Amino acid sequence: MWRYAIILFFLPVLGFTQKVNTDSVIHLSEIEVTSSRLNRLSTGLNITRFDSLTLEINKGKSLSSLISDETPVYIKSYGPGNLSTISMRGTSSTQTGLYWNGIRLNPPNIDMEDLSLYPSSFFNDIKILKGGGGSLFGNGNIGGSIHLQNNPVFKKNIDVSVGGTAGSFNDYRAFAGSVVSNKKVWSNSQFIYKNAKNNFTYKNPDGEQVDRINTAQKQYGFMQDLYFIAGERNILGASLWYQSADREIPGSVQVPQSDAYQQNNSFRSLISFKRFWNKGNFQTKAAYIHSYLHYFDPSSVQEAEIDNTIVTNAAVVELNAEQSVNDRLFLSAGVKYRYEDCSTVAYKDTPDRNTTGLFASVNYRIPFIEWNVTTNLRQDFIDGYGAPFQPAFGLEGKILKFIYGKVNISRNFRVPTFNDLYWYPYGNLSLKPEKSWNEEASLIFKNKIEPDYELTITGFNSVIDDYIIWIPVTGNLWSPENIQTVWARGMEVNGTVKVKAGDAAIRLKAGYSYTKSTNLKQTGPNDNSEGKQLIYVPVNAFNGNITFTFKGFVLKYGHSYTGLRYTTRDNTEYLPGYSLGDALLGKDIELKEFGIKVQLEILNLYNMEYQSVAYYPMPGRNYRLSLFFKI
Amino acid sequence: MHIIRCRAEIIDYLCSLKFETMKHSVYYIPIILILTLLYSCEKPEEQPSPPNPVDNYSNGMLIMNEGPFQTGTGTVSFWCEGTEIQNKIFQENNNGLELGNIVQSATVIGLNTFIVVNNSNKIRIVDKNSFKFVSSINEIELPRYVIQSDDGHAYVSCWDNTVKIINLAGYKVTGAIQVGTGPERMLKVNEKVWVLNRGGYSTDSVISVIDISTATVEKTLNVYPKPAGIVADKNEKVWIICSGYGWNGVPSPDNSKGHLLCIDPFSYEIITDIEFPDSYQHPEQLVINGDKDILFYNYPDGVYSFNITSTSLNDEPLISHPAMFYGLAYSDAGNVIYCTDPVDYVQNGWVYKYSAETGAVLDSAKAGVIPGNMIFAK
Repeated sequence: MWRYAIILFFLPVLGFTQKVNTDSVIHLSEIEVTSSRLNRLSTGLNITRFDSLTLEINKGKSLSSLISDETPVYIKSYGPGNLSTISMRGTSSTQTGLYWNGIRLNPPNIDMEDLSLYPSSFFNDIKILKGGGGSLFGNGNIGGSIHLQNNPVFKKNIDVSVGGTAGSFNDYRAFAGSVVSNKKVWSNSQFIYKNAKNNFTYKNPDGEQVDRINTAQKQYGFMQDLYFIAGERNILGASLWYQSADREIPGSVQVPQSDAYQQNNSFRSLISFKRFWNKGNFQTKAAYIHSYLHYFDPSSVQEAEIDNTIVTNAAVVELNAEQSVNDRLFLSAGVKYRYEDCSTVAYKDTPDRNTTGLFASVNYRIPFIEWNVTTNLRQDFIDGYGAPFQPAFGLEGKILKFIYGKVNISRNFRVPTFNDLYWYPYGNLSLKPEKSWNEEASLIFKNKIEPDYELTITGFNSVIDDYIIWIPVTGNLWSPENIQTVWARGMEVNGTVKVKAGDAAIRLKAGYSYTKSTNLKQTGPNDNSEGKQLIYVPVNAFNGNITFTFKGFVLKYGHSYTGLRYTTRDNTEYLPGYSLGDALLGKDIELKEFGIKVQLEILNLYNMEYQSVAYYPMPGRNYRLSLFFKI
Repeated sequence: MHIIRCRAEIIDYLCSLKFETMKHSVYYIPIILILTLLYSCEKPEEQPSPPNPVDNYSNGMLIMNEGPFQTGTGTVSFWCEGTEIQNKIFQENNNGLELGNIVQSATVIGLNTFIVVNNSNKIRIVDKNSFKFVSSINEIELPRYVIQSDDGHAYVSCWDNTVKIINLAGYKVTGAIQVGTGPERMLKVNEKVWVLNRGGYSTDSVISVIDISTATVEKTLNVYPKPAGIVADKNEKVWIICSGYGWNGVPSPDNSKGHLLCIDPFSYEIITDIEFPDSYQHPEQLVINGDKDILFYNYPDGVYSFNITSTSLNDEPLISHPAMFYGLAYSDAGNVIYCTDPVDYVQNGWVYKYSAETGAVLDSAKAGVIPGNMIFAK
């Protein structure tokens, strides 16, 4: 009985989310283990959700490759297997949160995460929330946020898959996953292993074809999720995730010789409890996150040797309650506490930070017009900071028969990183948080039957005050200052068309973003960056793909264009834009006992010579063969 | 009650969709719209057109722009009296060939200019008039400065704590002399080469004096931390500026003060030793005027002058500037001082020209990323 109540409680949420959000398969028995913040309370914002087909064919890839191959969101990459960070809505990766089941993973020292280290096969639900999410998730969500989740599905099911890929440049990957569940228990185990040399050939500045050196990578990781229903109205969950990566850090093409290497180990754990009652629920969770990074750069010049170890810890406790007062009014409120610290030789002490956030939301479906309106309020209390109050207001609903509209206005902030504050001797303890107002409006054209399409056109605008950059203050001393004001605005167009004819189906997906992100303030007497585009923010970006499926065959062609990116603040130097084409052919073979999937990919089909980061080459045409078994 | 409403809603929704399909053609409008909107084209913001390459880069200042730290390529600018500054003259004259990362310094020897590319471990040699590529010395560890030692050889200070000897006929490294830590500036005085060991990534405070005839360190002088600049005056005395240990603007008990020293090159006796007032403000660079009687150095609030007959430092700068200049050079063509301002090190920097007599600004020009070392090309 209670199980049905749980399901039915979510029905209106999922039903509405479906109307406005992107394509996805909805299991009625699927439970969002996180609160409704990402779904029901993100009214007016745009969420990109990777559907199951997309996740399936990209299984061997890292999160950074998944995003850059499937969306127009810009990923700044130092090369395969190397540092890859995200830039959304004209901001940098420090203004983008990365969440695992609602727990922020960004380390406090730099506040940015290397997305190349996250295996996309670990999650059954990956979403990108664009725009300001501060009222929902707190500090550091000015540009957007990425949400990695595993949602338990309580039905009798055994799903075991084992696979591997072999790619050009000695790139070998293996992954295994097992999802075992019944009406009471859901267990998800995932494992990955990667060993890649990445020794591709590129043209050096003297015009010679040479091999990339010191760029090998080894990585392994595993994750275990366990959820069970206790006493019919409670869900208990526990998750563990360990990952280790060893990699060599190559130099730029100007200085290709390098002996640097880096080791990243991370341990993440989470326990959660969720209790349902009639039209409401209470949830609590606790998480502990530990990460270890060791960077070593030997040098024949002894003093130039760099040996730095950075250890960060974070502990999070969250309580949240949700209640539908009636079928129109929904309330949510909660409190979140986060402790984080970081130790490194670059600081004089081991700084820590305590953050407590109080948040409440009201969601209401307006009678007659049936529009959904949400107000979120959040106040964070952070050690040493007067964190600004973060309200947000969102509205969405149907305008005409197949036309929907939505708007969102939010206040967001980001506190300085520990490096900004404590790096000796440059750290600046008098830094203020960056603050922004974000506004956006979307028009959605949507048709769920032939031809099944959805088209979203979004305009966004945000002004970020007290934007932190490192600038030289006196002579050889560099220090971070709240010196820029950034105006980021632009337009996004995202569309999907699906056509079905018998056994055959075609899906066309395309996204384009136009982003102007300019500095509004002169930052010094000779500074020429006023009115200029921020570095490494492409004005134009496009990603489109067409997927054809027929009787177990998958044929896909993807094309992306990344526009020019300036590399100097005065916009005098830039990297040219590039177009990439990728092709994929896959076949599912169903045997009696198990299924086999074979997949061949040709990446960078046109053998484009390009750089994502200046003077760091990217590989030319390359191939990848995947094989996996499903039981 | 709740359950019924939900189901009814879904059915309503599905019905509405069916109803909508009746007007089929309108649904294609958005598809057409998407295709229209997805067209994009872009051009970088107006770039100044490259100046016409000239074939004679003489009688002007050559400015080494280090280039973005770790990633980019450095460039060379040329600025001649009465003309516009010309940037990227190496690329312009060598079919886009790039110099490499961190263009540290340049030295004219005979008909060639030796451009030291620190992080790329190479020295590019060009014709001094046409700037056409002549040769390259590769795999030389972290080179800093080049100085001619005798007719057939030059010395290169390298951060592997050696001074390399290169053969000017074949451009080959023929020997290495072990010196102190992080050797930088060098000066030839009486058939000896004085090497300032600044410390590289750490700190050193010694000067290695190399006897050119034997290519050995003849004398090691202990001075103050971070010797940064060396010149000889009209009386053949050697002046050395030591920066002192510590960061500008960050007082700390382990900091030390800068010093200006005058040393007799024969007896190695310290004739003058003037201490700077603060341990959190450090002088950098040292140049001398054409008459070889006035010194100039960079300080956090500008450029100071010092008459070699003085016994104390000037209280006020000759040239005031809110940010500390990076490079400093003197040219007796017009008795002028050139200073560089790298702004924030991630955009094109500026070069200023001042009167060495009054400190008045005469001109300024935009160079490349991180303009630093400058030499006057005769």
